[in-house]
Amino acid sequence: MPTAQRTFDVQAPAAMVWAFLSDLERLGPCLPGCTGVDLLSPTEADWRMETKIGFIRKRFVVRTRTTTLEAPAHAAWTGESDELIASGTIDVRPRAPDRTEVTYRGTVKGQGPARQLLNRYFKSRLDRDIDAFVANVRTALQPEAAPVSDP
Amino acid sequence: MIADWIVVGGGHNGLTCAAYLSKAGEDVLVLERRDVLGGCGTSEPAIPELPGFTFNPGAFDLLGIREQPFFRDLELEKHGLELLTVEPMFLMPFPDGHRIFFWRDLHRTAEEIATISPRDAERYVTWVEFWAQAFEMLDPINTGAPPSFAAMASLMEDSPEVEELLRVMMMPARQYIYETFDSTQMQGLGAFMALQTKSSLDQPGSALAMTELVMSHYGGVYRPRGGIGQVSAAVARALESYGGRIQPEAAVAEVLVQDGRVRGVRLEGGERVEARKGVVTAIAPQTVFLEMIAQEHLEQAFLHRVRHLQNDNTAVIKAYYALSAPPQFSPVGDDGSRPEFRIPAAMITPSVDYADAMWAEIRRREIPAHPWIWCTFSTGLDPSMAPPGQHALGLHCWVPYALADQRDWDEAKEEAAMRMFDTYCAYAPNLKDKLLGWAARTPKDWEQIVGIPKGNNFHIDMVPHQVFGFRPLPELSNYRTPIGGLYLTGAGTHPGPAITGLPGHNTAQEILRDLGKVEDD
Repeated sequence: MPTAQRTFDVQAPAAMVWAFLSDLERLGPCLPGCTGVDLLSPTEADWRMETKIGFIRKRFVVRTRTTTLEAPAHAAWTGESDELIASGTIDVRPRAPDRTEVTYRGTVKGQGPARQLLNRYFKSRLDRDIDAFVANVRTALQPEAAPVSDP
Repeated sequence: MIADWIVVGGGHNGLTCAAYLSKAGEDVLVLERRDVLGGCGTSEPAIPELPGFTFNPGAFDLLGIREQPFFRDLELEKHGLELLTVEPMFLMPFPDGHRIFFWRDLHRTAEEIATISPRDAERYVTWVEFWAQAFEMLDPINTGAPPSFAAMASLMEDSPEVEELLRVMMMPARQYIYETFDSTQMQGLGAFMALQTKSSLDQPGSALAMTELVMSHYGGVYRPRGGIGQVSAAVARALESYGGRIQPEAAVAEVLVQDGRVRGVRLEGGERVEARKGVVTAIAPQTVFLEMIAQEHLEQAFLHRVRHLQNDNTAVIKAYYALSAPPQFSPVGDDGSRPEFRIPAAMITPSVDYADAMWAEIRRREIPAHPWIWCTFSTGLDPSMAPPGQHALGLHCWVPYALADQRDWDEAKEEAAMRMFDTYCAYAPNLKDKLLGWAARTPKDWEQIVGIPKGNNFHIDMVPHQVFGFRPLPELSNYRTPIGGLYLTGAGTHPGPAITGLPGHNTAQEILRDLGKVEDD
């Protein structure tokens, strides 16, 4: 299944970074295609997604569950919708009082009758979407950077 | 000889498939009948008495190659492929003195079209932007075995754009041309592009072929330095860097089958080559099943369907001309000072009436007096294709495979070559006395030299019932065959002809999936 990993620095204290990454309603808009996050419980949420392939606009909801939470350093999650299965981890490491290293790892796999097509689509988009996610997280925590929201 | 995998055919798809398998640790041997790699995409000295000239007997330019998986995965630039950017991408001259340059920049191209028809210029922009979105949907379809129609339908939503896409997919090109463009010239462009699949303008579904031009605006057009054969050469170097082997001048006569599984091949000289795991054929599927496999190993119903694969009476002739001067397109405003006239491939089909005349001539099995021609003047961008100060030109058009009155192509070759040259010289009159030599590859030559049935460089026709999940037949569309361990690749498989490496890439992925080396979808 398509997998992407990024390690990046954010000019912000680790506590602030962890608080942001743990706040799914604030984190959601950083993910390209996410139009909103609905919290269901402390560990479950519905991520409303919209993606566009050519002129096919597909809307779906991915239900995520936090499977591991080791504040303020590590979290793991899984997600599923009719169209896909996903999982990921986030690791936060302070590098300096105002600088934090974040490592994000994510995988996504298509399911359902169109899984082959979706897998190829995810494979072609994953790197770009993760790069956009990183840029948007930085923007949220370092306001001088420009956002990227292309679904 | 022995290998895990034998690949029959050293065209770029066979080499690509072999390279992916080798990269994954398989022991692969490619067997090629000729001493030249590349299949329909070679670069060779084609005029025996002028060996300093290099020609592209088949394919010549590359659309969007940088976006293709094999370019990136096999690191073709690292293995010596140097791409020259073709800009402007195409030139279309017209007998009334107009011409259109097709630039990668869509709006710059629209400015050219506006000199003929401002309304068509606006429509061209809208048309390209619409089809660019459609092609974005094609990428995941083309980069693997074709998905089922149920899978594609599950992603579809009702929308005007999807309805328009489906409508055009069923339309004859003629209707779509007249609906899209008003001017004779732009209708000629539509006819030229639609005729690329060698279908008539009235065939349902032929409209879709018009849209290939759209891809060039987004992916660009490139020309390998040294000729199109450099693509296969780079893939071959990649293959060998992974430990793969290539044996030229090794024509395969038979695919050996025992107990329902492929065991290897027999060469024309009698030698047997054993395959421990399987065989991939990168040649026309009808040749594989009707000529290379003993028929007791295949169901008669299957063979009946293979015999009826459509490979119509329209083939290709490519002629090569060594010139002592470059063309000057004076009838369409070329004073010799603008290099952009001598860079792009030129397209000759100035109107729908011209296309109709050409098609009628082909149906009568005549050499067209109105040839539809792709014209590639190589040395305008790549001087290495000819000796210093001299120039190389390639022209190709569609012709009947079998001429009327049982006329032999050896006898008709010169007439066809000169007719194309004269048609080209109507736009580049300075070349009439600049011909140093010529040669041509007729449908008969294609069949004998490269082994493509009826000289069809598509292997089988690109018609609606032989594309996507139907190519070459539904039961063969995922590259597997009724014979265990035997796989297909090449132009006769999805997504079809053109130098993209996609059939080779896709077949390799299915093999690796069957071997458990790639995750199952």
